[in-house]
Amino acid sequence: METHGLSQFITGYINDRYQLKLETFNKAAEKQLSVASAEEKAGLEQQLFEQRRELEKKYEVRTWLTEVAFRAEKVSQATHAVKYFHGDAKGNSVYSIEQYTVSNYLATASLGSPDVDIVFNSSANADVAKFILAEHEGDSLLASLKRGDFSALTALAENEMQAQQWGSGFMQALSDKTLSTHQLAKQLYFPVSDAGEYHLLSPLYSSSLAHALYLRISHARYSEASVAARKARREGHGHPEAVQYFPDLAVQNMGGTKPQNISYLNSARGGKNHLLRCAPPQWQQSLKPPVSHKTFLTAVSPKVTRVVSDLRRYLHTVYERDNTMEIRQQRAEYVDELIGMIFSYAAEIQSLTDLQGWSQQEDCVLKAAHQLWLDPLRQRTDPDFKLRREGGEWISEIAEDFAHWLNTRLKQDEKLNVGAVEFREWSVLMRRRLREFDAAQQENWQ
Amino acid sequence: MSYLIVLPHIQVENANAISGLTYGFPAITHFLGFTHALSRQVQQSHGLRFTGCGVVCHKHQVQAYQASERGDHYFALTRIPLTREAKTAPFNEEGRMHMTVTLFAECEGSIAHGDTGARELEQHLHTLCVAQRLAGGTVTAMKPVRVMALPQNGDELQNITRREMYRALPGFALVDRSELLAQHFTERQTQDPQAEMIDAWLDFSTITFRAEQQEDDSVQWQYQPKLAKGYLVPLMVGFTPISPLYAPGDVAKTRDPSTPFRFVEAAYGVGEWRSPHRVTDIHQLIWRYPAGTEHYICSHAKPLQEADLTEQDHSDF
Repeated sequence: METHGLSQFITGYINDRYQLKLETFNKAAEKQLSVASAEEKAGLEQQLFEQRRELEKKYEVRTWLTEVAFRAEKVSQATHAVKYFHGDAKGNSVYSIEQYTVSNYLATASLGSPDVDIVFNSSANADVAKFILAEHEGDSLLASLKRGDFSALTALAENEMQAQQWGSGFMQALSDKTLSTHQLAKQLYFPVSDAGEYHLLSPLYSSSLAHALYLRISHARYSEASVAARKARREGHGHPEAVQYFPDLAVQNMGGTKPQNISYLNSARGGKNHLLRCAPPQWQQSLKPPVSHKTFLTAVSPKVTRVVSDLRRYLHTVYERDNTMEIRQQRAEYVDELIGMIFSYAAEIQSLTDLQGWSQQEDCVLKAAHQLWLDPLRQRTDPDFKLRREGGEWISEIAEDFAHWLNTRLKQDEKLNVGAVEFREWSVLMRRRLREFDAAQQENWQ
Repeated sequence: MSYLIVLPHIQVENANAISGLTYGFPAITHFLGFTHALSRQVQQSHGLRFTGCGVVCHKHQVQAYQASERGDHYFALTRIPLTREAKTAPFNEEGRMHMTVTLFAECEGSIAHGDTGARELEQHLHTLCVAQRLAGGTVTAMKPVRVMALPQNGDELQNITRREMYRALPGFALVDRSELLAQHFTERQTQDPQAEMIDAWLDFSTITFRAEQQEDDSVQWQYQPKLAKGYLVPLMVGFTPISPLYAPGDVAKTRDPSTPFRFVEAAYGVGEWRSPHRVTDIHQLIWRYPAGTEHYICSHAKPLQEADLTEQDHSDF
């Protein structure tokens, strides 16, 4: 027999499985023998001997290959498996790579060498999948058959015909035979024109893409190189590998305690499929009304430092030039951004409905005008407060406080000669915006 | 004539929190589907058509827990219904979330009877919205619908935008930044020809440190700065085909034998959660269905300009 790497590997593979089975069998046999009485023993030994012979026969390379090749039609290779969305879903799984590329988005087709999954109608056939995908020096039976290379089988077969039979059996795994979806598979209508035309789409889970993600996360978490890099970082040494974290991952379990029911790769992942977070930022849970400050601007200050210093830097670069339209425009944009951030903060405070009336607390030192703005729900219980709020004078007061605050911050750069003109400009803009904002927010608490 | 329709503060319970390989917010296709369903109804009753939809999220709560402070998140699940034998049924995990969102629908057509017609339409839409599902969840409440004429550009559009964006505070608007993915992928490939799209995509979700040699030969581990400003997230933006388009009836057991059928998979881009006060033109928020039939990927008709971007970091919104 010609020596052939892959065929040797196959023989070894089958032999390993045989040894494993034999071991379990021997253990069980010993147990049986140890409890059997003397007169039973002879009969039992004979029985066990025959069973062992049968096992041996079953794992004889050619017999085993014939049997598995026969069952190969019950499995198929896939990149997208239907059962991920429902364990009982039948219908097609799909094998698709490279055919429909979307260059600017991530999809299975953008993977360089996607891992191929195998799906089966029953997990009893999972061993077939495992066998044809088993890798030996980067090659597998499935891969060699796909290349039209039958030599591994020829080397093991009795004759050419048997090799052909095995080959065509295993080749059955390459394609799904029917064209069908299933009532348990997802199906949705997607409009494709303004004229009421639709395509019926059935989204399938990309097992190959999920696997690529899984491998990258596993590498970052558990690979030798990553572990060494993390250790080097802790100890302050260098390491060529980067340390990478995947914050806020979620795990979705597919197939419950029986991940092998879903697909071969799902089983390899232990049924764990990782999900990346796309949620909006979470509100600060600890957000509190600014009761301990005289002005809310103290509370908001740290949040807007960056914009203020950007504005300062900008004014610094143009301070020698004439006050052109362009500069004024640009300046107004920075201030608008600043106002927007302050409003964003104010809206958060105003939406603390559980704490309404917080400005009535005895230890609240916040200025009256700021209370009127930020604690609007107090109107419900405090008629005087309501009256003063509707009077609207607080708007001008806040606008002036803001202008004063901004000027003070800008004056930290001595070159910037901001004064009354700027004060007027900031306060006018703030007053106008604040009126708009307050009108817009009305409905939120009425 | 075009109108802006605001569906404010829709509270949704048990919406779908998983979109493909991401979780935490329903895919944009759910929101477009919701407005499309509305569109079909108002097309019949009022001759109007909704052409796109923008989303602002005010509150969200994913039904998931962490076993440990830095551990992975797991979904809180209910095992209902039981099987006929009252055993727990085998099931696939579904992530759920509660959320409050405001939707901005762009509407084409003309509303008859002026203001009276507009008020009547607001009522009608309110009734339709609360009866519909959104992202698989139940709508439990919403604020009164607003319908207003939408100027195409100019000061008036800016004023409307600013007013609506102020109303949408506090919250975060979802905008498409997939162009950043394409851009980053190209950059990554020039550095390393082996780099794949998935690596570029993951760069938007990971925190990376690299060892850098200092001048005095000591080593410092440097935090690798984010790829771009803004609160960027990986995002499912639609579907891409994995099979040919089959003629109606060619595939067995479809929902309907008279519509062309296709197997597809989720396609991913990058999104940004942006504070609404940074949106200066409401059109920048509006997502649309694609015009072609080859890919099923949603995006903005009017992409954000670089000039719209302001200095902004993960920490300050």
